[in-house]
Amino acid sequence: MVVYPNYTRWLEVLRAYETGLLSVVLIAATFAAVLWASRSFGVRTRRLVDLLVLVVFWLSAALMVVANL
Amino acid sequence: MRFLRLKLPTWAWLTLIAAVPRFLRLGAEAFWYDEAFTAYVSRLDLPNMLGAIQGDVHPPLFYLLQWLNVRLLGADEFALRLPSAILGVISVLLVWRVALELGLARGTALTAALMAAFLPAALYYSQEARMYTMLACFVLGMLWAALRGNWIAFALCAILTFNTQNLGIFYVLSIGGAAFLWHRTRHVLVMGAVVALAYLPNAALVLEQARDVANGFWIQPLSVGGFFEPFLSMTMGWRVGEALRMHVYGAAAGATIIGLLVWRNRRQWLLYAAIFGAPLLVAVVSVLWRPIYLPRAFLPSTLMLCILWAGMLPSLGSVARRVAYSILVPALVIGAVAHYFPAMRRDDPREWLQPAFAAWQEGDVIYYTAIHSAILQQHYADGRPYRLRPGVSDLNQTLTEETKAHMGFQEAYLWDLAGQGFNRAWVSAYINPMSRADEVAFVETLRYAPPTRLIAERGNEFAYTVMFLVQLRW
Repeated sequence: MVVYPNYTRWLEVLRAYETGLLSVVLIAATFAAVLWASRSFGVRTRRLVDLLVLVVFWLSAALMVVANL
Repeated sequence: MRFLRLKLPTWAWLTLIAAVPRFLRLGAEAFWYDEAFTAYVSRLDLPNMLGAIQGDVHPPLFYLLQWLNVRLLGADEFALRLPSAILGVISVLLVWRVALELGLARGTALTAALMAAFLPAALYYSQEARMYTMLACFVLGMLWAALRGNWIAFALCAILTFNTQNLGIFYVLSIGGAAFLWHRTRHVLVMGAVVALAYLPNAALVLEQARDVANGFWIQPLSVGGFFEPFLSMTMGWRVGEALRMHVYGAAAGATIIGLLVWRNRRQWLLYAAIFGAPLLVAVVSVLWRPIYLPRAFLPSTLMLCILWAGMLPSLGSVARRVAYSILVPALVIGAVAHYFPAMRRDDPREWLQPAFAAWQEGDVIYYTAIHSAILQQHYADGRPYRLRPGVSDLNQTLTEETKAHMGFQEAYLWDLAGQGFNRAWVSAYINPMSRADEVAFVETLRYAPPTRLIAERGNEFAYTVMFLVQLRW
């Protein structure tokens, strides 16, 4: 009889990773929606929102790098 | 383009720009299993090679090219990856041509091609001895031909596509279907019939191969998150460290979503079908039939995604465009740099075998407990004798008995090796999530067997490799 001792646990890890990917897509969709919606704002608000997206993106990236050091 | 005082046409500059990252360190990394499989079967004589790949999961075109290549240039890393690198450069030129054919401005088409030139996943597959850049070239060729209404070129590219990779048929169906709906001419129908006739001999073989793939652990039932994986890992690669990987993936996802919003009214149905048609069709088949959703087969889609990304940039406001550039370009650079300096280095079989080679004696033999190890590590064994434990599985559980027979493995039980004249066996054992209980038990038993010495061990709870030295005779 064929038995795969680690298979079930391995599949759990894979599914957790795929759920993480889904979260990335949803967060990216939120950022994209904000950038897209900002087109209908006034010029100053639009610039502010667009720059905020940029700052939040790279600031969170920097924090992730620091957290992983 | 006129810089560096060289007046070269755009295609020549693009060729140079795409070639540099593709030829940089082309032969530096050791093979991994799939590449070693390419090397193994390409060195067989032609009847055995064709017999072996019939029981594998891919059509013959790429292996036929490599069969010729091995006889011309040899089977080292540089030689076997050379076709992928050249085809990778051609795929960048095709992205540029397709973007122009879609009516994009010259600068935008150039931006798309530059993105494709440095797309991390495209760099990876341009430096891998597998068929994915070849697939990308034929799919892009098919799209270019459909946009131009050149149905003979379309049919030729379609036939080459499904003879390169089995999932290529989904690109033929999606682009061909969109071409028919868009052009609605008799020529499309006639060429469709020619392609369908050409596909018939493949159909039975593909069904057989798909059944084998579905038994492997490397393609699991599709989840929602799994569906999006190709649009992330097949754009930005998977070599970026964990700290930045999700941000880099987020940049790709964000650019795609904004691209879809910008492009929604442009009615470029052929491009949409080319990018999203095949993944959607394969996802449907995976849900309704068997799991066949293989992210790397969607490299053509992600190369064409560069057109979507570049095409959306001019439509953004000046600040939003700068923001998009400031996120997308660094993300591409991070992914491209990580391709050459990966966060997790690939296991090098040469390093793994080094202890055995350093202490090698007359009468030694390498003993493999998995086909995967026999194919990969034996490539670097410099002709030293080896034996493979009979009846063991391979990494992906995909090689049929027919394939194994044509590959001509030298099988023997460990306790029979002394009778074959060997004194010591260097046992290279490999265990993965789909290793059978008896295979795990065999390796674990060796840990406690008196004539056995543990030489090295590495891996994690799911996949690990162990090397033992077993004294067969005193």
